[in-house]
Amino acid sequence: MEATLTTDILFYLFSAAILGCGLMAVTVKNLLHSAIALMGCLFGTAGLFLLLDHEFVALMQILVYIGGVVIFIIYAVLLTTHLGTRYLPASTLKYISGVTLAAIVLGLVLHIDPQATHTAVNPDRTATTIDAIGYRLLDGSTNGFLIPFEVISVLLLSAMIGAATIAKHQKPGATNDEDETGGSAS
Amino acid sequence: MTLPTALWTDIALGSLACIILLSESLLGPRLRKAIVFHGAWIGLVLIGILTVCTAPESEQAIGNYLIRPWTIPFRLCFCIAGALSVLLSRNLLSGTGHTHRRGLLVSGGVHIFLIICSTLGMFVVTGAQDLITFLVGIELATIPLYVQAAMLRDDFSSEASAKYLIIGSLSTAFTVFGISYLYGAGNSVHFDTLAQTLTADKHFAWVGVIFVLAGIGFKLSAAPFHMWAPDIYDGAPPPVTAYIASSSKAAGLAGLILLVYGPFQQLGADLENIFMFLAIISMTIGNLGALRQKRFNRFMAWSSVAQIGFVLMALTGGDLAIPSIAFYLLVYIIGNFIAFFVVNCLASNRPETFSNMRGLSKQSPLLALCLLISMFSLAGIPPLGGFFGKFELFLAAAQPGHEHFYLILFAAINAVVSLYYYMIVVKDIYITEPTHADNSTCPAIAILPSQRLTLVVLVIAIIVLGVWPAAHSWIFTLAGS
Amino acid sequence: MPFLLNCTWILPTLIALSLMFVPKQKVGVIRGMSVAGVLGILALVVSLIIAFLAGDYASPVGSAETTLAFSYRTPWFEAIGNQFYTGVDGFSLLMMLMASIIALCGVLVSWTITDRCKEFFILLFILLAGTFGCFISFDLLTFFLFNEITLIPTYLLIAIFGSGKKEFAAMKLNLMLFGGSALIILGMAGTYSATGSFDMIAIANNQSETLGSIAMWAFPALFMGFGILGSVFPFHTWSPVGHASAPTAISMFLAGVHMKLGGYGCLRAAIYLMPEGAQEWMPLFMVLATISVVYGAFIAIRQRDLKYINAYASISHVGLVTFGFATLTAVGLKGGVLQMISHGFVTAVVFALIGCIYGRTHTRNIDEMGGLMKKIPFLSVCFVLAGFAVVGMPGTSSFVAELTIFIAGFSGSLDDTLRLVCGALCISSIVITAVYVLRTVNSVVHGPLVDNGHEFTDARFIEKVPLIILLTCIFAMGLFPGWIIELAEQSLTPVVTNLGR
Repeated sequence: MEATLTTDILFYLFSAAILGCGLMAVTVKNLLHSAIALMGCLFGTAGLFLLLDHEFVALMQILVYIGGVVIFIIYAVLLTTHLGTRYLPASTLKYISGVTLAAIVLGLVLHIDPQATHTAVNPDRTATTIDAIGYRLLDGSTNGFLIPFEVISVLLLSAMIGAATIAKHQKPGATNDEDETGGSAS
Repeated sequence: MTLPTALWTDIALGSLACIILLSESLLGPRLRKAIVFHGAWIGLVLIGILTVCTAPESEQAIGNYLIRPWTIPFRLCFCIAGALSVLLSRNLLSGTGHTHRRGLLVSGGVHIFLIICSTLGMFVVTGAQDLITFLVGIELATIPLYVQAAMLRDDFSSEASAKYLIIGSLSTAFTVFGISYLYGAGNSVHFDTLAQTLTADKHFAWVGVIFVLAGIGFKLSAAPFHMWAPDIYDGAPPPVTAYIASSSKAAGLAGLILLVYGPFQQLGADLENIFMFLAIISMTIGNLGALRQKRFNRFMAWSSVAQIGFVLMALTGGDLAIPSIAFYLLVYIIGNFIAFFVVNCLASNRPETFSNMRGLSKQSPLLALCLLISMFSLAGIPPLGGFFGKFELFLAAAQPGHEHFYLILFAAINAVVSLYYYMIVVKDIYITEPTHADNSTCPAIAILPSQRLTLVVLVIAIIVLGVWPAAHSWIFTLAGS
Repeated sequence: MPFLLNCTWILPTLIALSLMFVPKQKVGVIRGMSVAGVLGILALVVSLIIAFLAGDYASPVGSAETTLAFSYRTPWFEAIGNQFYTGVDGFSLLMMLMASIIALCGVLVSWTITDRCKEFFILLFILLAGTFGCFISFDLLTFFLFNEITLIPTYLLIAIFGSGKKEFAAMKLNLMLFGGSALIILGMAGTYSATGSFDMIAIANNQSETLGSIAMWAFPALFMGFGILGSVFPFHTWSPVGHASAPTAISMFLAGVHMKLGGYGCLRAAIYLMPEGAQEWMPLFMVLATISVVYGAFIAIRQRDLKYINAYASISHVGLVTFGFATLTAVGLKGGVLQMISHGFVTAVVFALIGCIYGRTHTRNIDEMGGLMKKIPFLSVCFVLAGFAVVGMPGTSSFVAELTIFIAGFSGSLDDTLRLVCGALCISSIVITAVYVLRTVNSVVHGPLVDNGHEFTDARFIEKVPLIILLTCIFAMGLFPGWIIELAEQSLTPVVTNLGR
């Protein structure tokens, strides 16, 4: 997207949303509220990606982080007794150390040569559409990522089988390896 | 598109994983037990032989996947470690008539399948030509291990798995964070491009380099990223511990070399300083930790931290670094496995503490001799393989243009310290008399025939590696160029 | 012939291996094989010496090149420049002769060992293999490798079969010697960095700038590394406890032969390879050697335990070897070599005698002994003769060796004050030696018989044999040192020539 006044305004809006929600997420006392604030923060980041023409990353951000991670957190909060209603104490020391750490990170970011950021912009804007990403994933040439794509499937398979094996409820006295892999492998 | 011959091993490994998984789920119980166990280790040994036979003389590429001659010894190490790890699981599988003190594995078939998957992941790491493949490979090599660590039903195993999962995720997060910075600085994920664009004057690049090194440092258990190792070595099932201690380290080192001589090649002297720092603190902390241990597995964890320090020392050196590390790893893996085999036999009916190892030379001379040889090989005593392995690491750091003589002196003194605690083990098994209480409570040691045979083969291998230079010169021909 | 030369380490290895398959109850078989083994080694060494003397292997005067007899060279771990390069010159042959005689006596002395007898001889033969490997290696890395091989059996032999604080002593001995190895590794890394090779003769002839500058720190590393094995002050502390705790045969071999590997290494791997470094650093080592000589002798006076007395006497006498080397003259080096051989026999016979006496009196404390001449005349006479040898009476080998060293201290220019002072101090050590030797002999052999309840008889035949062999060697070398001196002189020519470059 060309840089116009609108995009500038949108950028500041999103940034403000990220900062505000982020602050809320770490300051509010109710854990459930802070999870929801985190969700807003992630939405803002997705907006920034959209402004940079990276639809795929924006979608992934929403899909994985908001749809997956935050929902998971909320589940955990709600399923765990009292965690949704009990307030976690936050001592002054924790505030001070948190602020110090944030300041250090900010200092580091500012210290890093700002000139270097310019080279990071990918000049090839078209490569970031979802189609292009799909083609490139399945491209067998040196420019593509066919092999990691295939390897990920093995990774997912082994992770799933493993998770199923451990999670399977073991009855005392049951034989060890009956039927636990057949179901998940199919 | 013709398939490079060197790629056959990767395909064979994938097929082996499928075969194991299918026979585990489809065959009847009797046949399954034979095929899964024997099929797996024989398959891995055959793939190891195939790796040697198809070793390419120059780089062979398929698309973005590159098989480099110097990675062949590493791949061989992965196969050996995988096969040995399967063999080591023997007395934790059902149907062998022997039971381990800590019970049987939840599912032997899945355990073996995951070993092969993890080995495949290590192969992928060595073939990576871009950061994405690299990351996926590392994950495939690591994630099965989280599951495997939980394969026993006791609390230690679960605890080890949970810790490993958390630490592993943290290290992955570091790596991914670093990779994003490398991409930002180098404007590519491809190693060839990064090798051109990552220069020492880019701050961005350094953030990435440091985070990626930290991520790999966790995998290697190099200090200061070593804190997880003792707990996990102690809690995980014995074959998994041995696998983490050997293959996982080898994969991390292969990945590290890949990066150092690939995308990081322009970073030169500053990178050497980082490795020097890591080497010094790894050796020191590892040695200090190992001095105080009472349990064998924790001891092995700390000593492995120290061993990694020696390897990192070689990375400060010149072109001797790659072959010397490869040879060292081969010897290190064999030495480690001898120790774990012995302790696994011992631990099947008693906790693996040093006090329970006293008088071993009287109860089982074979096991005692094997453990003695293993300890001396790890310490670097001739005529065992460990001597040349360790000595070459020193030489690598003394090459013209990379002379780190202070580091060598420091490392040599550390080697003496490490000798001390290896000798303490020898003292316990050969010299210290067991107290009466120890002696009466410990039952006879049962060694499975397959494990006895493996031990003998490994001991012969480690002596042959130390006196017969064939394997050594093979590695140097492949990795020296 | 090269094969026969290599047999000196192959034979003990094979015997160690075959002993593993002998059932441990068959003590007779084990002893028989061991004696046959050491006799075989002795025969090998003697035949090698005869062949050496018959052939024309001596280095011509003024040559820088060591002429190796029976040399054999094959690439070994060649990717790092390592070769398996063996050969001998007169110096190594003399050391091998001494080592094989002491090994024979050591096996005879260990005749009474019955507990874990099999392990004892296996370890002893591994120790022998390493030692002989050292003496014939002319590749620095191979030399170092054999040197390391000797250390582990030492640990086990002392820790399993020793007496007193054996585990502590064994660990201390090993850690300090491996500490020496750490320095040697540093020195080797330096030479490797400069030359890319481990071939000793090639390195010795290498006159490049790089090696010259690296020698400035690699020389002290190598010299001190081997010096620790030769128990040079201040790193001598392992040797009294180690030698005192070891079983008799091992004390004999450690003090007699194994310690000499240190001196051998100092000469071969340090002085010969890096003469420039030697010239630079020798004043320091001369001072350290003098301290060893005087300090060792003084401490020996204070000791009451026979083994400790001899162990400190060893430090003192081996210090003379280092002093001889430190003069960096032809005479001094020759004296050092002679002293190494002589001290090997002397200390071995003293340790053997202590073993025999301890077996009877069940104490090694000289205050609890006395008047042994009346009860065990043979051993007592031997003890007196050995005492003569320690003091360096004319007619014994020590006299020849020590006299050569003292001459080296005072020959040449008289401007070198340090050398003169150190030489004078070393000569004065003879007086101190006389004090402790005479007191000890007097208190053990003469005087009233101390009765501590043990009945004992004089030496049996099997005990007499090693004592007679060793004493014969001492007096033979003292009375007819000619051919030994000649061999030593010839083989040291290249070292001396190198020092003058």
